[in-house]
Amino acid sequence: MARLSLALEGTSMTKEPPVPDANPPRWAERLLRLVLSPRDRETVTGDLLEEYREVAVPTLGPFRARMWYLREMVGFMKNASAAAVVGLSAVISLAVVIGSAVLFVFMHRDSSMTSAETADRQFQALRARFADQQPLLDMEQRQARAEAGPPATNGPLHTIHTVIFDTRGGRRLVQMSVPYWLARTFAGRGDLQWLGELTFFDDTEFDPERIRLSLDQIERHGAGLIVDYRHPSGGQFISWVD
Amino acid sequence: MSDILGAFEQAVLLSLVRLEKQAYGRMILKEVQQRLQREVAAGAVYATLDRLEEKRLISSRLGSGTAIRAGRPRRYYSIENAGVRALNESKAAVEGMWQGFRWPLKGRA
Repeated sequence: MARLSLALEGTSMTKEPPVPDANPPRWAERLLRLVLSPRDRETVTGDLLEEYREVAVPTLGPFRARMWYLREMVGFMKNASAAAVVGLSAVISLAVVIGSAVLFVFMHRDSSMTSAETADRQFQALRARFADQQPLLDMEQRQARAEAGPPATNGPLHTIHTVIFDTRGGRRLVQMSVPYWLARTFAGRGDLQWLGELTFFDDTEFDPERIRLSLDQIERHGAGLIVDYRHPSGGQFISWVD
Repeated sequence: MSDILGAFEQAVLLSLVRLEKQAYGRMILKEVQQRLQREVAAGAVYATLDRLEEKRLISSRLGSGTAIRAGRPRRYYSIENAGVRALNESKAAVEGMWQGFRWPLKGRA
């Protein structure tokens, strides 16, 4: 036993003690670096890392040590300069806006490569659904029909749906469902001058098709078919609101 | 005569005097906490160090990094003559204010 302890002591005398490799949450350290001045970034995060590894983890354990680090980070934010706080807020706000926009598009748009036959089948199914309706938009005249018929249902409008078969380049089927309030928000005075304005999130061959349609006309028309259009190239465009 | 230093600034400067060549961020924080006998936010100490350096009451230099700090350097602080003068003047100013009063003051209640 004595021999073993001597051997262990001998080992510890000849080798450097291992460096703890515990790390604080990476995102917290990055956030902290944002509020620190360039001059202090390395030294202050180094001080915190030293304390984290030497004191916090051994005495508090990994979980509470992380909590300690977050508390320290908040303390630095409280003492950060106004410019640093404004800068950090701007970065976070921008990230939230971009993240929300990406998430929104991801949730409301679907695009996939498809054959003309598959697209045809899908469009036939949609036309069967609206068989008893005339589209609000007359694509011969490029404007709303005067006698578009009674609305399919009454009540507030919730969503504009658009399905497009785009033949430019690869053939793809694009499906979009946009909340009606978003259309109201982004339609400016409420006049749609291009067919592409009904797609919101996509660039298709229908974008430069001139139309005259207003959201007021859509609302008077109510839920139902808005556009059913076949492009001479073979592209198709159907839009309806519910 | 320079402005009278606040209590926190005095605690930070006195920590540098006490720590001498070992005065870097974490050591200063611990010394200030001991001196003020309360928990102190690290951010407050670093902000005060920056301010005192801007006033040229202290100076700093970078040390070498160590493995436990992932190679990041320590910043060592030392007090300048102007800092020592400011500490002396602050203590004298406070003592001057107290002249003619018996300590501790007695309340009116």
